[in-house]
Amino acid sequence: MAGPVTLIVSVLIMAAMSLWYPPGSANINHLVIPVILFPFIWGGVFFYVVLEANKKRLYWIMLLLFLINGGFVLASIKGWLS
Amino acid sequence: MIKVSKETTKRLLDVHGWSAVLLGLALYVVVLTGSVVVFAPEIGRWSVSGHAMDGALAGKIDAKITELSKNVNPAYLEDVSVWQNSAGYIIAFFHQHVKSAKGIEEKGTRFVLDPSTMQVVSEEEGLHDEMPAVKSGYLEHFFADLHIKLHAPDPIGLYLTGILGLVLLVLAVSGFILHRHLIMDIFLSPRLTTRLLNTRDRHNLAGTWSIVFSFTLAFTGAFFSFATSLGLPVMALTAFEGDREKAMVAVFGLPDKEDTTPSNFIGLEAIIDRAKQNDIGGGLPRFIAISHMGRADAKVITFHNPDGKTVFFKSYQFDGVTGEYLGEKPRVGKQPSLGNNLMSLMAVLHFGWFAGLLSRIIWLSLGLATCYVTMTGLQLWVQRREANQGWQRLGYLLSIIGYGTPIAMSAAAIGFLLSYARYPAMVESWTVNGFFIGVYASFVVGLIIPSAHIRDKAFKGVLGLLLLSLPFVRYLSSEKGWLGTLADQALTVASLDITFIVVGILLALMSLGWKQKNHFSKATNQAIIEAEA
Repeated sequence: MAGPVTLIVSVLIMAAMSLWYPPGSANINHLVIPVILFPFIWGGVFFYVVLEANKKRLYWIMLLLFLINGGFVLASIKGWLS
Repeated sequence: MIKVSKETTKRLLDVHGWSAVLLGLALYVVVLTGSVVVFAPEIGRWSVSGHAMDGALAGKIDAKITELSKNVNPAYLEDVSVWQNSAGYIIAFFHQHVKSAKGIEEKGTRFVLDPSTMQVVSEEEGLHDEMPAVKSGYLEHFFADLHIKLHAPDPIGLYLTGILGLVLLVLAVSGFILHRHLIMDIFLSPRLTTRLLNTRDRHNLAGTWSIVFSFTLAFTGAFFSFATSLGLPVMALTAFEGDREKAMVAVFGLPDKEDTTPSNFIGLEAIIDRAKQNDIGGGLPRFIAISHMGRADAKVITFHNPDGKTVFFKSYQFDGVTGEYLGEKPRVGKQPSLGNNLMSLMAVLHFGWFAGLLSRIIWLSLGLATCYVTMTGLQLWVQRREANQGWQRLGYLLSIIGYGTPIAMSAAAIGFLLSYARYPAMVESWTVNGFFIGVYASFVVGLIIPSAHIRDKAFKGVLGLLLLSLPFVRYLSSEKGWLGTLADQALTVASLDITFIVVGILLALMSLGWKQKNHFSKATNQAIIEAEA
């Protein structure tokens, strides 16, 4: 859970962030800031996975993060958001 | 420092220990090489015994660049990069961007020019990634590649170092939470009662001093490794339906309106003079990029290192036909933004160039402190398991990698020095062979000496002798002594020679037993562990 699952969920959070983060006047912030924050995102997910004592809650939250962020990413790739 | 439950402490301790055991040695190699690479320009200059043409870009280069531009494939005028490497040679790379199986690659002709005569030293044509390295800068290039991607192919090497950055992040955060007396430990004097307590105190002391740096380094390092290898492709897939080229245009902002009308290029000398003025760069650019040379839409971007005015790496844009200053060019996007500022900050914090030589010395010192924390942490792991033969074998590896990395780097430098002056065509193979001879020698020394104490003394002796030999090999191969290099104003050469001699003497003395008295009591590590429990 702290290895590949954490990595996949972190990458999906980063990717989905590009869809809701404000692009700013240079139209660039939504692409650059998620990439900059990726180590923080991964660190946050990793320590949550490692320190969460309630296994059931851990699985549910990770599944939710995966589905919500993955759903947005899939919708964007398929062009459903445009 | 942070109060957490016993259960959480135990988990964090497991994460902290196992992360270090599994990847700590690879992390040590990346951090050590990174600390050295902070001084890459100086290493490059030292490796060729200096040069007399500092700032050659400010000289007469227009006639040569124009002459070269007439002899290359006109398609290569799409982009021209011009810079002076650490060894002083001017490199002009005329190229275009072509699509290949690997993505977008640079294809063109690269000239290496002698800075004093402007004669072509070498000329290569083809894909940039397949060109041989520029001989005069190979040693610093070799060390930088070891740090950036462990010499593994793209993007595997970047993934590896990115993962190591994340591991360092885990170690720094878990270490911070586990650290009981963070402020007090700044002044901790390592106890001499037992080896275990001594190692733990040294680990805590060095860890306290370097924790903020480790966190910064881990965060920025992971960003640099993953930004282009993972971040950009993922963003291209999500925001641009997989079109990486479109993503690159959005991030780096290519010129939006093309004008292919032939037009005379104004020349670099006028633009460099303008860029040097205080209202723009205030100094000589380290790198120049010309786009669409010879066309009406030609642009020139000059890139500048941090100086007294700013801590950021800056770039400025000029019209390639009129020479008009068009304003500051952000690293990403077409206008200033939070994203661009944060990205600039990443470079400042990772490279440590923000306050000149002082900040680079601090970065080197804190980098070495991080290496020390990694090694003492692993020693602690081994010492706490002194009854377990399996873990004791890790002790051998600690010595072999700990001393073997600087030994192999020194041997690579000797390989470079021996080949550069006499057999320049063999620079790459001799440097790589030197490195591997250093690696093999370290394994032989490490595996044949069973006593940890004698093994460490032997390693210190070998490393000390190698460092001591570097100035002499450099002098014998180049026939340039300190007076000659000082006359060339190459202070770096003498400074690095003296550094190698001092560190080499210290290591040699330590290998002979200086400052190595054993003060530790006979109490076993197990007794200490049990008493603590």
